[in-house]
Amino acid sequence: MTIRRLFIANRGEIALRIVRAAQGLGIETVVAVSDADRESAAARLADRAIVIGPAQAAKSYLDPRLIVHAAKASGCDGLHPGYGFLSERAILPRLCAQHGIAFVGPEPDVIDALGDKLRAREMAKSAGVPLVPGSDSIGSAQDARRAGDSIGYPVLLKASAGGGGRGMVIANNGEEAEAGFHRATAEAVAAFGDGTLFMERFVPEARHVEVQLMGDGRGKVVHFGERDCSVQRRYQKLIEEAPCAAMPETLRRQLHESAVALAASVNYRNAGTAEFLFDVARQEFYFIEVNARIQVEHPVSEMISGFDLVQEQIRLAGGAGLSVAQDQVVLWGHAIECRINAEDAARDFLPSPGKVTRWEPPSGTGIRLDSHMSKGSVIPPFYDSMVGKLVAHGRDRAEAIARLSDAIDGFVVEGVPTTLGLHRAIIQHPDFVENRIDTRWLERVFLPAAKGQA
Amino acid sequence: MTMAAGSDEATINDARALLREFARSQWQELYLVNDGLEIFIARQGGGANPMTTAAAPAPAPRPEAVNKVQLSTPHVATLLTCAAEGAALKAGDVAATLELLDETVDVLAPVAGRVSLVSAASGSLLEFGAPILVILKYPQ
Repeated sequence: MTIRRLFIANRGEIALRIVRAAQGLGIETVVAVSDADRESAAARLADRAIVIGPAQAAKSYLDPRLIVHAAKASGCDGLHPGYGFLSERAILPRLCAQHGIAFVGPEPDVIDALGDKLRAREMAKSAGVPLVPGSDSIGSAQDARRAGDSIGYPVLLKASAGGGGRGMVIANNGEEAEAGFHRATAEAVAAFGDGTLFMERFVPEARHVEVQLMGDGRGKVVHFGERDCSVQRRYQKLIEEAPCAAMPETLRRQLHESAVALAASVNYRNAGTAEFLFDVARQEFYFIEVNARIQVEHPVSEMISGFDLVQEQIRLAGGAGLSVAQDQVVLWGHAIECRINAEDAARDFLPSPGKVTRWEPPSGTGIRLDSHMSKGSVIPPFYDSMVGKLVAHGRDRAEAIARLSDAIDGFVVEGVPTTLGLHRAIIQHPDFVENRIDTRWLERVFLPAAKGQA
Repeated sequence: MTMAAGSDEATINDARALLREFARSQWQELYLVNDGLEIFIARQGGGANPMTTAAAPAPAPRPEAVNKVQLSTPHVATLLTCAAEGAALKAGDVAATLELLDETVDVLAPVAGRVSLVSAASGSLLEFGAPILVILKYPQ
């Protein structure tokens, strides 16, 4: 069928990314904008922009009716949800299907199934994928204590409907497991409207490793290698890299096979990422969840594979098969990405919206910047504060770090504070250079030391 | 400083901390919207306060003159029907109907008056904020 006119239901840098990918395929583009994004880069580059609602996301980007109505009325036959917003809410692809618009993403039933963490674990188990030692749903405080005793402390109580690290409680013993049950249930109900909990072993020295997948919806799945996203603050990723240099080759191959097996078992369609916890001490990996969408950090996988994942998404949604077989995916070198936010790292990462008065981005061999900003851009206070993703690729990790460091040095931004300086300090830190980091490193080692020196 | 927030202690402490930081900084004004907290702080001679101007919900009738009221599109939708120029409307009358997917949305006249200008064509896709019609209020 091939999509002829694509509707982009997102904003900021990813909206621009999708417009560019579609234009590369000769596809017309229509982008949804809120009242605050009328002059955005995506709006200016697309063939048409439609103001769907006021600045508040709840009345614009998060309203599927406005999105689908605008897509249909502007003659679009495809819709890309980007990441965040409605990208993993099954109502969007369902509405698209009802109104004859091809959704660039998985089937809505698959989105629902994978969004339920307990069901996703069951699916992983059936596909033979190792899980974090854990429990089924926990119905009571006594259950919590029993499960904790059986798994072995420390443990983590998690919301089945949750994500992004919210609604998670650590328990170091039986008493804390019982008390934690009540707290975690309340938080889960408040945050997700669903108090169902389950429990997992808590791994103190863990790395976050994920595999980029692409499926044709008919059982064929290809992977584009793994990413290491262990530099995190409050469960939000700051730096991502590809491949995971800390994982030995044999284990990485097993990781890829597990991820592909899981996706193939559900006839996964379009782009997705299987996330795993890598227990460094035990040299074991465990399945955490699948993100049924394109992710913020997809550029690092594109840099090491030379492949355009977003274009492949659009092609698949138009009915095409996968463009490559696994043995045609060649991964080379190392890539590192910094998510740059308009935040004041010295003031506890206070979001600092405002106007960019100077914007001089870096360039050079192996440098890529995914950003919607330019001089005079205004960062509105209504959405996240990400201003861009700076990526460097090199023949190995050391060269990638060197190129990224030089790129940050050459990057001038004035008018708003950014986390560029923080990123530079992180990638020059001996722990990062020697790759001794884990998911708690930034908050427990780096930030306290940085504060002490401030 | 203008603030709209919950009155729980955590939010009040956040606001105090923010005000302290602002006082110590070089900033002229700050406008922050976050979970449960909306706050605007400005030094004397600072900019317009977005909270007092943004308080009206869409569609906010924008008076062009004291005796006229503009009806604007509350969210993207297709215009189905619209009162004709010259039509007389009472406050609360349906001035226009919009289509959003399979639903119909009524846009009501906020005041009584005569339709003086219709800016939108039936069947067209209207963006958020697009003008629909102008009502000339009856003299008091």
